[in-house]
Amino acid sequence: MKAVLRRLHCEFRHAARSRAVVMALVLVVVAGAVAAHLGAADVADTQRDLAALDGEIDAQELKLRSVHRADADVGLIGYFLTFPTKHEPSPWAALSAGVSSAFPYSQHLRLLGLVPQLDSEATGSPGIASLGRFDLSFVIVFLVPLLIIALAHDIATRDDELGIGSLVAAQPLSTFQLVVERLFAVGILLAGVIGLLVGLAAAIAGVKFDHTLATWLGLALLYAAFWLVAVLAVVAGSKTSISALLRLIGLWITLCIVVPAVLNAIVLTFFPLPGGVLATVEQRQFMNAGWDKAKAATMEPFLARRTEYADVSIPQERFSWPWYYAMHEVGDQQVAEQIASHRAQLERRAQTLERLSALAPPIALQLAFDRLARTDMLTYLRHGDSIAAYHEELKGFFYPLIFAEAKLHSLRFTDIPRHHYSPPKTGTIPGFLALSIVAATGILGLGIPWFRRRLNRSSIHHDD
Amino acid sequence: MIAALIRFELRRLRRERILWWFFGVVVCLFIASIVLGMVRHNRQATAQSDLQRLVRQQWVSQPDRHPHRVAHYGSFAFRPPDPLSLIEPGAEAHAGTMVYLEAHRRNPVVASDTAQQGSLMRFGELSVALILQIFVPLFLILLAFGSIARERETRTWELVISQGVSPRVVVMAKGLAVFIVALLVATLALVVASAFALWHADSAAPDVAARLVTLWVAYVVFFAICSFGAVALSFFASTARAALIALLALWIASGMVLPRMAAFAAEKLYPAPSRAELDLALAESLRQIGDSHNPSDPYFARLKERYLARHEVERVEELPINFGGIVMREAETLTSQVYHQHYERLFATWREQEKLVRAISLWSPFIAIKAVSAALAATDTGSYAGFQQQAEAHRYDIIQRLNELHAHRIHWHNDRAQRLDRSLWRQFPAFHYQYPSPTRALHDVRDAASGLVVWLILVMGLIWLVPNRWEQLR
Repeated sequence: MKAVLRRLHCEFRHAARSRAVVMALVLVVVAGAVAAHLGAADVADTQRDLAALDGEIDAQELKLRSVHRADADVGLIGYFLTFPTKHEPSPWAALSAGVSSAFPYSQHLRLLGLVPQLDSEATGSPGIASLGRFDLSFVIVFLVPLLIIALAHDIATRDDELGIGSLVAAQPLSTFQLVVERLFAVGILLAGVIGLLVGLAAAIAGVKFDHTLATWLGLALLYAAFWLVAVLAVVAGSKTSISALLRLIGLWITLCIVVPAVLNAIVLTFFPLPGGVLATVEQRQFMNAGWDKAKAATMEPFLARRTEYADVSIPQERFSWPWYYAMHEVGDQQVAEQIASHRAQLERRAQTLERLSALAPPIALQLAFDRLARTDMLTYLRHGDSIAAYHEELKGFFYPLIFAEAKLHSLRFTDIPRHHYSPPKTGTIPGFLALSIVAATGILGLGIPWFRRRLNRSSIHHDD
Repeated sequence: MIAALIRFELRRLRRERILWWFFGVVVCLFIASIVLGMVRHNRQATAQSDLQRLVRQQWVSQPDRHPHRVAHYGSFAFRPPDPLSLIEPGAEAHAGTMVYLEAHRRNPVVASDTAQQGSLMRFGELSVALILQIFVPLFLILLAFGSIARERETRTWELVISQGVSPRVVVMAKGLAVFIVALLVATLALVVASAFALWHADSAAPDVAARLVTLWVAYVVFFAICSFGAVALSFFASTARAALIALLALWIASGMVLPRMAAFAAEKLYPAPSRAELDLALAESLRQIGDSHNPSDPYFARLKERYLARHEVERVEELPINFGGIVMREAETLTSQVYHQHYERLFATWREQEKLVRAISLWSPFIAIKAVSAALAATDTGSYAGFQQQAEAHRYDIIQRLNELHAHRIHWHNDRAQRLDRSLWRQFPAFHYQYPSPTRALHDVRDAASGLVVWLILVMGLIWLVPNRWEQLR
């Protein structure tokens, strides 16, 4: 045991002597801290922007009351009003941005048809978005494996290349044992780096030290373990440090770039989702057709759903607000199936991607981080649902007033429902994703007896 | 002499099995990216033009309607993909593809691929650009890292130098050998990709051929930087492994890490308003301007006085035109101006951000080539902003035409009950996307283009640092 510790100590000294290694370790930790700081600043900006929305309905009230007479119809006021929605980011969003840059945290909802308002676009530059996002999850998913590769690609071949191969071979220690001990040393070093990285980032981002942090840390360590086993597999089959390095870089590109890019291309190519756009175009057609039809053609399908207004009489020959809102709702209703199926397809696609992520641990880890940070696709789909629910809630508030032909003076703006979406905590470990990394590590681990034979045989050859 | 050295180096490279492996993988990826990109590009292009046609069809087959009714019915603008987006998707997937055009409001452009695709988008897309900008440089690094360092390790370097050849000439020759491979790869890749891009090119897209040639030149310069830079590093590194590690570190740092950091820096130094901020600012500005629905609003009261005075009448009912339409027209001008100011400010911020990113390209030729190639493929942010501006101009045009009809063809009395004949709708223009001009694009990224040239000079300077006589070697 003492001998093992002494050898581990030697390994650390070896790593510490290389200026490049020390610099790379420091750079990665600094990069992670900077990413966390900038991410936290982003979340703070978002919270500030959301807080600024608080007075918006009051400001509208002031304006509307000054412009319109007190006996103006609530229907007319509802036409002008906009209702800001709020999606409160989780503090973890600072560490894994996910798809958050594609979706706005807020939009100004109107009481009119919902379908044209379902899509809203963030205001960031698409060119900047295409360069990729620099956050803690990028550092862990992309850069930590590179550190492992840099530190460990030569663990089996280093001694020969330094010319002390026979000296090491003379030790009462098999090559496999030596390689595993060195890998263990790299593992300890990396665990320290990851712990420091995640701890520091968590402190900077101001997240609670709870089980989410533990999950985050556990996933990162699991991912590092996968790469350590991968290194073992590659060095067992490589004769020189350079060839081991080339193969490991090849593996890194394959898992971190090629597989995700190919998957992305396949999903985009073979599973297109044109339904959303078409439904928006059709909704406009259905909704506007109401103007050219008899009022009853709009009111019948509307009242079939909302029986509570069945006894309200609607003027047949002239414009009326109840009819106007009914027309918008009926327009939405006519594409409701399409919208629902589009929504289901989006969810299915997100789930399919999750399943496919088993093909490459980097994708699984990224998706797991996004989910923990609540910046994943499913969170945004639910955000969309909450907006639809809010729209319904608004109608529930305004319809009784509009159908009773209430006037502006009786409208209490403070009673208008407000929107606030705070994505629910998942809390649990994203099971499938973690499992797929474990499985990938396990499958590679099955080769260990073979790696052992390879490594030990190569040292016997050396003795010859 | 140089020719013999180049031949010799190429023969050495041909024998490397791992290089052939890598080359094979890159070729497979290239084919996959072309085929998948093609399918997607064609589908996208067809879908967008079909939708644009459908919307036009719906527009002209409207029944008799009040013009303001038509203004609220509105229209849509769809953004067709540029033929060269097949080669360089650039910002394509992050940019919205559709916008609803209606009276009184400027809606956001929505329905981008990213909003549908989710987290995988972060890993990047499989495209010819990914291959040319990330994989080919890596391939060149693999070709070059050992070119001199390895010869030094196997002691053949002394053999070469003792023949009396200048070390600088040898380094140059080896650089040229790698560059020749790069030139072949670039030419082949772009010829094949161009064939596909031109095959289905929308005839409205301008100067596809000229843009392709410029793109080729840019990639040749970029590959020259990679080839000569890698060989020079192989000379200055102590061992082949040190050269490889240094080159890989540079490749990752400047190809993958720096662009992300540059993007982050740009967002922090030139923050664009978030959707929440922009919407709020718009709402506040719109509240400031005159309100067309308020009879006592001073702006519209003055407008009314002006019209009454001009036509020398007492009441709006007596005006020869419909004052309601005039109010609509004036209000549209005012609100459009507000939207215009806010959106132009947003676009200006985008331009500042991109300028900063391009300035950082002085530290990374990878950023420079990305900017140049996206601009040439018209998949840069500027082109996207251009679409938004065109769509808005179209919206403003049709809404104001409708307001003119409202003012001149609808009578003041019983305004809302009147309708105009359906044959009028045919006279409205359809939305035709004008592809951005390639010269504008190149002008925008001239800093990145000159960045590439500076890098080439720097790398050549590095080779110039190689001693000319072998006695000067350490």
